[in-house]
Amino acid sequence: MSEKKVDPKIAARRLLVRGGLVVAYVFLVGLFFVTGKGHTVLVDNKDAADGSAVGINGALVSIDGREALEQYPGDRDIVLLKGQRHRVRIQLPSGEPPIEMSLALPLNTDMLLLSIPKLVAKQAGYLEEFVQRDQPRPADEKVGDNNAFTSPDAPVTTPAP
Amino acid sequence: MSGKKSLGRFLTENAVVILFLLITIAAIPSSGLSIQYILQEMITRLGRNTFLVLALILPIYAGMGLNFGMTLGAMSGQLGLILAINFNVGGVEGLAFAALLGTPVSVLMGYICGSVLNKAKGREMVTGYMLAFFINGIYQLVILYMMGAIFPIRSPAILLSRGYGIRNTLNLEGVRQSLDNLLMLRLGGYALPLATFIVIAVLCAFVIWFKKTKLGQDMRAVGHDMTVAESAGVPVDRTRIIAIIISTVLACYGQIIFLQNMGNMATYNAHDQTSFFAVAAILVGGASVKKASIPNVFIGVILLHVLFVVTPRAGQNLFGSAMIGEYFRQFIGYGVIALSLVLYAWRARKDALRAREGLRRASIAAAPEGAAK
Repeated sequence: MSEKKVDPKIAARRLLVRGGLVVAYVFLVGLFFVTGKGHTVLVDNKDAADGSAVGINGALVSIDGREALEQYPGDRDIVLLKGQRHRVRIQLPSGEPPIEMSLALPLNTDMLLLSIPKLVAKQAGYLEEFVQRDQPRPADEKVGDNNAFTSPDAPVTTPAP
Repeated sequence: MSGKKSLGRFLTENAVVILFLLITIAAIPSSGLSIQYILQEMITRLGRNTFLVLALILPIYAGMGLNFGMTLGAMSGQLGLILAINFNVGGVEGLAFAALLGTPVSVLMGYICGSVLNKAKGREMVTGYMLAFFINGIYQLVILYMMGAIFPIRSPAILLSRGYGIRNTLNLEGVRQSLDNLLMLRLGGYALPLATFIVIAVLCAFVIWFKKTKLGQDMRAVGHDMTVAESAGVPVDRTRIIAIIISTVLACYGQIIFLQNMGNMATYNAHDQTSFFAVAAILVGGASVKKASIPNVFIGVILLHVLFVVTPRAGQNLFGSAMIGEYFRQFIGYGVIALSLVLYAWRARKDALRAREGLRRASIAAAPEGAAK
């Protein structure tokens, strides 16, 4: 049962290949995380809290060339985005040339609030993290009590209380 | 006489396929479903299930029977998906992310499974089945108690209201049908998920290529006769472990493909029936415990799923209750596996008897020659 002696050159090459594989694995995980990371952006057309910017009547907001959202003062729309770099285009009702700019979303933030009035007024803080305060919790669920042999297509049934 | 024998042999060898074909043909008119609808369903279901069923081929090739331990791979894939949802990684990138995170877990699971199966040579199927129950317990412990308590979970939407444990059903909205919709070809009223079929074709090519490699030939030798393979210098245990690792990793990817198509995940029992349906499909396709090929996979998936599609409707139309059809497909899932195993055991016994008889005849024929000398 003696261990076979491996040529040091082969052992070194093996180590190199294995190390390379680990590096490639970590790189790919990172790459897919960054490129696939989703963000929920709330496109907001409410007045700024300090009154420095007011909601725009009939602004058309389009992100990444998607269908434009027609916004009126007090409106808030939800947009799901993937990745960090995006392009926003705002068409004002006054007929001025559209405002176009790129958005860089922070990787670590899931939900952001994009204030259209602040962006149009070129104020800082037009993009900020949005934290839901009183987040509704889902109702309690019983788990592990559905042990039936059903087809994968069968709907998941919750037992009667 | 010989023609009768060969017909009998053909019938016994393909009993499951023939039986299924007959039931399906009988059930289609009663279901009242159009051929176009059934065809579209088959295209969708081929994309959804074929990868999982293909994962069973290599262990059969290595003589380890039907890998009921593939459930371990399915659990690994689900873990990957839970993490992808937790980190809010969506689209095809989300699927790749889940697959990458599931890979090391499935390799570890495959290694454990292969090592255990090496200690239970000759009883691999029942051992794999029981092992899946054991690992299921660990999976539930991790998902139900450790996630959120020991392993931090970012997304409150996937946590139970008590603050730890993952919800019973997860919405896979971020990755829903992202692979299917990546290259959706619309052809004559049918929607073909081309990207999914390309992935399946790549796996088929891999299986064909792998069988021709040194490792593939070693697996074949091990599957044929372990003692002879060992004498020929093939590392039997290692080869068997590799077969199970590959199968488990493929099951991990297969489960991810399956769930992205479904669009939601029953966190605690989505993997329960994975091996059953995959095994039933490959058996329906004409495979056995010892022999399986790629055509068996496609025939099996199509036949099993045609029946799955038509029986609830046929049950509704014939008996006024869709539940009869649902019962029928559960019954078939178990029935096919049982029938195949019984037929396999019966055939193996008959073959052994035939071989013994041949040997006896040969020795009788050789005896006068020896006496004359």
